Amino acid sequence: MLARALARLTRPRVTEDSVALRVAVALAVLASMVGVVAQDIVSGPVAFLVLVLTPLGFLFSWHSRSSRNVVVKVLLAAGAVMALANFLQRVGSATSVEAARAPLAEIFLYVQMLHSFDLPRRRDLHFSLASSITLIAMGGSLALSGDYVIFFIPWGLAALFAMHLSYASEVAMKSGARADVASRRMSFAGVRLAAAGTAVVVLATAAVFMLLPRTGGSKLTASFQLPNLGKLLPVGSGIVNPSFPSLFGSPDGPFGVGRGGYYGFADQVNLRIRARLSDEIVLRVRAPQAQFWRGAVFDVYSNSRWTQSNDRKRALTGVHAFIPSGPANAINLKGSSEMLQTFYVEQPQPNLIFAAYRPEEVWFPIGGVRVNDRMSLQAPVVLPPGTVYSVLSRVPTPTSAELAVTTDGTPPALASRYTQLPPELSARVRHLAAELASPHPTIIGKVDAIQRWLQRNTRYKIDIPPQPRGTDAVDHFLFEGRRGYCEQIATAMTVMLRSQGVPARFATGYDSGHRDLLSGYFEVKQSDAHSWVEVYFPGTGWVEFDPTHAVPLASRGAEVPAAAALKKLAKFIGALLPTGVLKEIGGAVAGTIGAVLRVITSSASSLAGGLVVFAGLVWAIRSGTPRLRRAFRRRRLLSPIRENEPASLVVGAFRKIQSAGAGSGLSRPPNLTPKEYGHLLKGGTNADHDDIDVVVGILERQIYGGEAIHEQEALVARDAAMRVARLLVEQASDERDRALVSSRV
Amino acid sequence: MKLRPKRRMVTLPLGGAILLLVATNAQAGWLYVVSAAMFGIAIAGALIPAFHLRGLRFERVLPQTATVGDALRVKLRVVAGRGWSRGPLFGRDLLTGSEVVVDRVSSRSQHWIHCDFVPQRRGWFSGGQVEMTTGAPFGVLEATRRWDVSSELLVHPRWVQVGNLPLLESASAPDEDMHDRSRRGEGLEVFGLRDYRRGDSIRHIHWRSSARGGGLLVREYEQPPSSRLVIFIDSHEDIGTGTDSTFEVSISVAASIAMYGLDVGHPIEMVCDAAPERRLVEPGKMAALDWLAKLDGRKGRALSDLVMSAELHTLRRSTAVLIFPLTAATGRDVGSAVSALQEAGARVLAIAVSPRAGSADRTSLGANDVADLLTRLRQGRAIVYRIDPSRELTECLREPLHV
Repeated sequence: MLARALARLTRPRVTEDSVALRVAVALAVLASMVGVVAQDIVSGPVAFLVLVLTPLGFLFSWHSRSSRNVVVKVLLAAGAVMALANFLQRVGSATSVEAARAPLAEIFLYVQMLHSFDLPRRRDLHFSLASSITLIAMGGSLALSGDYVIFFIPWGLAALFAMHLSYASEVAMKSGARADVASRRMSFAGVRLAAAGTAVVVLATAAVFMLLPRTGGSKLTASFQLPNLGKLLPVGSGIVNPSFPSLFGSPDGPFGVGRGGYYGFADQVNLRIRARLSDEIVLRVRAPQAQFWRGAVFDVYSNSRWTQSNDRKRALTGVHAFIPSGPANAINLKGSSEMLQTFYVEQPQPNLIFAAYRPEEVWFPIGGVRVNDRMSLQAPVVLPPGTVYSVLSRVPTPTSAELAVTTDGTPPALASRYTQLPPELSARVRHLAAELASPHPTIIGKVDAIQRWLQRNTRYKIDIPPQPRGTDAVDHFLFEGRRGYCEQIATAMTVMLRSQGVPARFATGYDSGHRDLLSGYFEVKQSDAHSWVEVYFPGTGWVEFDPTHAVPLASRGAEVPAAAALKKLAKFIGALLPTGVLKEIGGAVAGTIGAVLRVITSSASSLAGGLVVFAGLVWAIRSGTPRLRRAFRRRRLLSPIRENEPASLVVGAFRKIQSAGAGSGLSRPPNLTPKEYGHLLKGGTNADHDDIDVVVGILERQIYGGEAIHEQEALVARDAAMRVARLLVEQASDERDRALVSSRV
Repeated sequence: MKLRPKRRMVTLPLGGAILLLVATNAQAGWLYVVSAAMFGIAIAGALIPAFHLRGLRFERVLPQTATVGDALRVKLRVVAGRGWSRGPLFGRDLLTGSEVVVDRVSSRSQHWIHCDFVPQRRGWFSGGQVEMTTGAPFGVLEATRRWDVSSELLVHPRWVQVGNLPLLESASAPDEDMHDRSRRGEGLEVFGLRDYRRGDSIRHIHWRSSARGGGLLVREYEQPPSSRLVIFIDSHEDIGTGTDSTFEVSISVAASIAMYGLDVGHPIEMVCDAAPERRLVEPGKMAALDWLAKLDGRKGRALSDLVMSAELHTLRRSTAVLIFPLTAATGRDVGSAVSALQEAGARVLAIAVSPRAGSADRTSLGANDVADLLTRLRQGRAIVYRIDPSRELTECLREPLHV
C-alpha cells in the first residue's frame, strides 16, 4: 500500500497553468468564505486566519504547482487532522444540531483554507469550487435577509467564469496545446462570451427558483440566542411593551398620538389612541406560509377599550414546552395543518411570543413561557434584538361546509364570555348588525355580510383625527367618521358579531409581512402591527378573519386603476390554477406582478430619484463600456508576442504592427503588400520608420526570399514591433485625450 | 447533432437536489436560491452548446496535389453568422484527421485554423467532413456537429530518385537492335532521296541532287531508334495491406522509374489493369504521378495476359519494365511475359517485389522458389531487381541482381 501511495505521489501529473482560472476559483472561494464569516458564526481570529491564509495558499499552490510538495502535503494532512479533532471536540459539546453549525462552518473554512495550498491540477481547483458551493450554501442557510446577495453574486460570477475557463483549459489540453493558451487570452470577447452564458444562467435560475416546490420543513428549530441575558429583567404577569409608554395604555391615560410603538401590545387596547409606526423591520420569520403572528387577544369591550377578563396564565416548564389548549380552544384536527415558525427578533419587542394560532409547542431559549386561556403566549422577559424562538402551530384550515354552521352547539360558557357587550353600546349599532346579519342563519353568512358592509361603507385611513370625547369608538366609526384603521374596523366587526350572538374576540399581533424573495424569510415591519377578529365556529374552533383587508383605502387616488385591475387578474388566475406546482407558479406570477406594481406605484412618487438613478446607470454604461473596451484593446496590443519559432515570431511581429495600426485607424487593406502597408504607417503615424522597415524587411526576406530567419534576427523584429505598437497605442490615446479636451473647450 | 453529457450534467442537478432537500427541511430561502442556481447552470450549460454550433460555415484550403509523406499546411476557414461569440470549439478535420482548437469566433467574423497534415497513403482525398464539439461555456454538456466541406486532394505515390537504370538508349543500343531494318521516320540520319511532293518542307530539298537530276528531290530521314520505356504493373495479386502491400510498393517503384525515365528523356508508357484507363501513353511527370495516384485496388489480369494485351510490335527497341509481386501465380507467369517482350525486341527489366516480413501468405513464393525464379529470369537475359521492403527503395534499384 505504501509502495502504491509512493507511486501515486511520484506519478507525473498535468498541472493547471491557467492563471485566470486560478484567480476565478480563488475569488469564488473567498466570496463564499466571506459569506460565511459575515454571518457572525465563527470567531474573529478564525475569520482573520482563513481570509488571510487562503489567498496566500492560492499563491503558493500556483508557484509550487510543478513540485511534488510532499512536505507540504504532510503538513496539510496534519492540519486537517487537527481541524477534525477540534470539530469533534466542539461538536461533542453541542446540545442541538443548530449548535453544531459553528464548528461545522469552522471545519469547512479550515479545510478550504488548507486545500488552497495544494492545487496543482485542474481537478483540485474543481474540488475547491465544489467546496465553495458548500460554503455559500452554509452562509445562505444562516443569512436572514436578501442582503446576502452581495456575497452570492460575486461568488456566482466567479464560479461561472471559473467553469468557463476550466472548460477552455480542458479543450486546449485536449488538442495537446498548452493548458493556458485559451484562458490566457481572456479578451473582451471572452468576457462577453462568459457574460452571455451568465445571463442565460440567471434566467434559467430565476425560472427554476419560481418552479421549485416549497413544502413544509421538518421540525428543525433555530439556534437559541438571547443576548445579554444578565441585563434582562424579568417582567410581571402583564404585557410589557418597551417601545410604547405605559402612560398611553393606562385606563385614565390621555387621548393622543404615540410614536414608535404599537399600543395593541399591552394589557388593554385603547381605541382613542393613535399611533405612528415606522417601516423598520422588527421581526424576521421563517415559516412555510403567510399567517398572522398573533400576540395578544382581548375578550372584554367597554368604553372604547379592549381588556382581558381573565388574566390567569399557566406557566410552561422547560425550553421546549407543549402548550395545553383546553376545550375553549379545541380545533378540528382534520381541518388543520401543522406549521413551524422561527422568529428572529430584530428590534426590542414586548414580552409577547408571537405565533400563528393555535400554538402547540414552543421552543424558547430560557423557558418560563406562560399561556393564558386565549392561547396568547407571554415570555418572562421583554425580547431584545437577537432573540430567536420557534413555535409549532396547528393552523385551522376549515372548508366552506365546516364554516356554514349556526351558533347552536357553542358551549354556553364560551358563548356568554365572547358575546359580552357594554350596556352603553348604542342601539343603532345593534340595529345595523341585526339588519346585516339576521338574513343569514349561518355564522359565516353573518361574517360575510358584515365584512361586505364594512367594505362598501367605510374607508381605511391611518391618520384619522382623535376620537371625540364622550363617544363610543364603534358607534363613531360606523355612523360618524367611517374612516379608520384595523383597530376600528376589527372592533366594529367583533362588536356587531357579538350583538348577533356570534362569539368573537379581538386579536392583535403582526401581519405576515413581506416575504423576501431570496432569503425566504417574512420581514415584519413595525407598521405591520395589526388587529383582526377571531370568530368561534362550533366543531371547528376559532377562525381568524381580517375585515381590514377588504376595506378600501380612503384615498382612492393613490391606487393605480390599471394596477388594481392587474392585481385582480393575477389573483383570479392564481385562484383558477390547481394546487401543487401550478399553484406555486400562479402564486409566483401573482407575486411578481404585485412586486412590479409595487415598484411602479412607489417609483411614481419618487420618479425624480428614479430618473437620476437611471441617468446615472446610462452614463456609467455609456462611458464605462468604451473605456473598458479601450483598456482591453490596449492590453491586447501591448501583450508580448508569444511565438517561439523564429519564423512564427517574425509573422507575429508584423501582425502586432498590423493590429496596432488598425487600432490607430490604419487597417491594412487586403491589396497592400507588407512594404506598402509599412509606407502607409510611416506616413500616417509617428512610429519610428526604422523599426517598421526592420520588421517589414525581415518579413519579406522570410516569405518572399525563402530565407530561414535566424533566431537573433527574429528577436530584433519582435522588439521593433513592440516599440511600434507602444508608440501607436500612446499616439491613439493622446489623440483621444486631445479630442476630449477640444470637445470640452 | 450529437449531445454528450459531461460529469457536471449529473453533479450539478444532484447537488441542486441535495440542497433543495436541505432547503426544504431548514426552510432557508438562500438554499433554494443556491439550489436553483445549480439547476440553472445545468440547464443553461445544456442548452447553450447547441447554439454555439449554429450558424457556422467551414471552408478548407489545401493544395490540389501532394506526395505521400509531404508535410502539408491545411487551412480551415470558420465563418460565424449572427448571434453569440462561439468557443472554445474542439474540432476534427475528418479529411486530414487533424484535431484543432478554436479559442473563439466572434459573431459575423471569420477565423482561420491551421493544421498540419502528412498524407500517409496515395490516392484521392475528396469530400471530407469537419466535426466540431463544444461544451462552452460551462462544460456541462458537449454538442457535436458535422459539416460537409468539399475538398479534393490527390496524393501522389512516394517515389525516390533513382541513380541509374540500364534503359535502352538510342546511342547505347546494341547493333543487332539498332541497324537490322531501317525505316523512314523523323530521325536525324538520312534514309534516302525521293521526288518532291507538294507540301514537303523546302528545308528538306536536296539542292545538289535536284540540280543534277533536273527535278526537285527531297531528303527522307530514318526512323529514330526507339528509347521508349514501358512500365507494366502487375495487379493480379497483392500481398499485405495498406501502404506496405506489394501493390503499393510496386506503384512507388513504378513512379520512381517513370520519373527517372522522364528525367533522362525517355518517352514513357505505363500499363496496369488497376486503373480506369489501363494504359497511359507519353505522359508528363504530373500526369504520370496522377495516373499512379489514381490506381485502385481492383484485381487485374495475369502478368503475361497484361503484356500480351500490349501492342508488342511497337515495343521493338524499347525498355519494358515488369513490376510484379513474388507470388506463386506470378512466378509461373512472369517467364512467358519476359519471353514475349524479348521476342518483340524490347529490353526487359524484371522488378520483383517481396512482401514485407510477416505479411507473406500462402500465395507467396517460398525462398527457394524465389531464388529459382530470379535465376531463371536472369538466365533469360532479363535484368532483374529485387525490392526488399526492409531496405531503402533507392538502394534496391541501384544495382540489378547478378548471375
